Amino acid sequence: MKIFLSLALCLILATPILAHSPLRHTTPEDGERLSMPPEEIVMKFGSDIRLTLVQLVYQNDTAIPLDMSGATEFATNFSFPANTLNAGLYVVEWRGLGADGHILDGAFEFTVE
Amino acid sequence: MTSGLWDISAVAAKLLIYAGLLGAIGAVFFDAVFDRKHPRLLFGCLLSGLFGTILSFSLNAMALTGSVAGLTDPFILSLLWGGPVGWALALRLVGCFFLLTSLTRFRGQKISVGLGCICILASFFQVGHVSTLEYVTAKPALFLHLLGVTFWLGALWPLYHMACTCPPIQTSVIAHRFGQIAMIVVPLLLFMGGFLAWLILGSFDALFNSAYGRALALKIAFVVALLILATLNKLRFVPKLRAGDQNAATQLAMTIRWEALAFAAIFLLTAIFTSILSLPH
Repeated sequence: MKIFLSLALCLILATPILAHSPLRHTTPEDGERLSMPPEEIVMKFGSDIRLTLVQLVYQNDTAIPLDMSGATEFATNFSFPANTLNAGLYVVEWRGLGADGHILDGAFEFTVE
Repeated sequence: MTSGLWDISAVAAKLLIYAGLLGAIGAVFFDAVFDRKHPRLLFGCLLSGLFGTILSFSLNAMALTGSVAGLTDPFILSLLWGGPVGWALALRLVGCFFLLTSLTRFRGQKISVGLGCICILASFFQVGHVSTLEYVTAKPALFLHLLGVTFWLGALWPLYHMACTCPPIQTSVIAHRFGQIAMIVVPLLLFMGGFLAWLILGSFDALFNSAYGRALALKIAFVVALLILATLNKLRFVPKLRAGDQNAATQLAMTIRWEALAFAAIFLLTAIFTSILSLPH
């Protein structure tokens, strides 16, 4: 029983990287280094999602919420205007509700040089 | 809440939902088929199912905002309530209420309990991977699969209790009858489960080439173990029980305990691959 529970726990803890993440494409791409700040953040999902939170985390410190007024429905493609961004590392964190009721979340990062 | 803690909580909530709600329907079935009420079992299952249901909804609300603020955020709550998650919650709450009426006596009680079973089973169509399948046969297949699961699950505790406390002959009558019905129910359960797996995976290769498929393969291994235990009971221990062998009752009780463990493993794996793993594409 203890072995079974330990194995199950290992399986659970080992799998978050495989969590539901239907994000197919982003602009900027994950890990991209840009010479100029992007004008918008684009996210393309493989299935419909209703986003509830999208924010930029600057230098792992300051969270900058993005304007989500254009993302009020279930959709696969989203674009968010990015105001003038300073040089540095940005992590785009997102959360949303999938059409099948699953909660989806993820993150990608880019650097403005 | 960290990703790991979130995953564990989501899996725990699903475990409570599966064991509680499906066990409650099973307890009602056992009463209907064998005329043996187990009110404490039913009440315990309903309580566990309700707790899991509310925990799951709350976790979803928190996950959508990334903090406990989601629990009181009107936008998040209305988003969840207005979609499949809200439907599942409502059907489960109504279903539990109807199933509770099996503990009372009134005209139309059977209809009420039947409605409760349908509500709870239908709640499983609202969320999860089957809800997104575009095949008209997927939901009826899930309904029949779950119906089979509840019949088997609901018999575990009553049969275990009888094996431990009742004379062998009395236990053997119920166990034998259960075995006869299981001869129809279990193949149906397996066929529907296999059919759903085929609809979800799309190919045999996906069973080994994706994390989802491998988790499903592990689940199938536990199902095989469960079948071996059930076969052992039907072909060996129940006939010995019918001959009045008291030792067979102890052996039957032991295999039922192992069956319960196999069910726990199957539910855990199902909770993992429906909560954490993505469908193979």
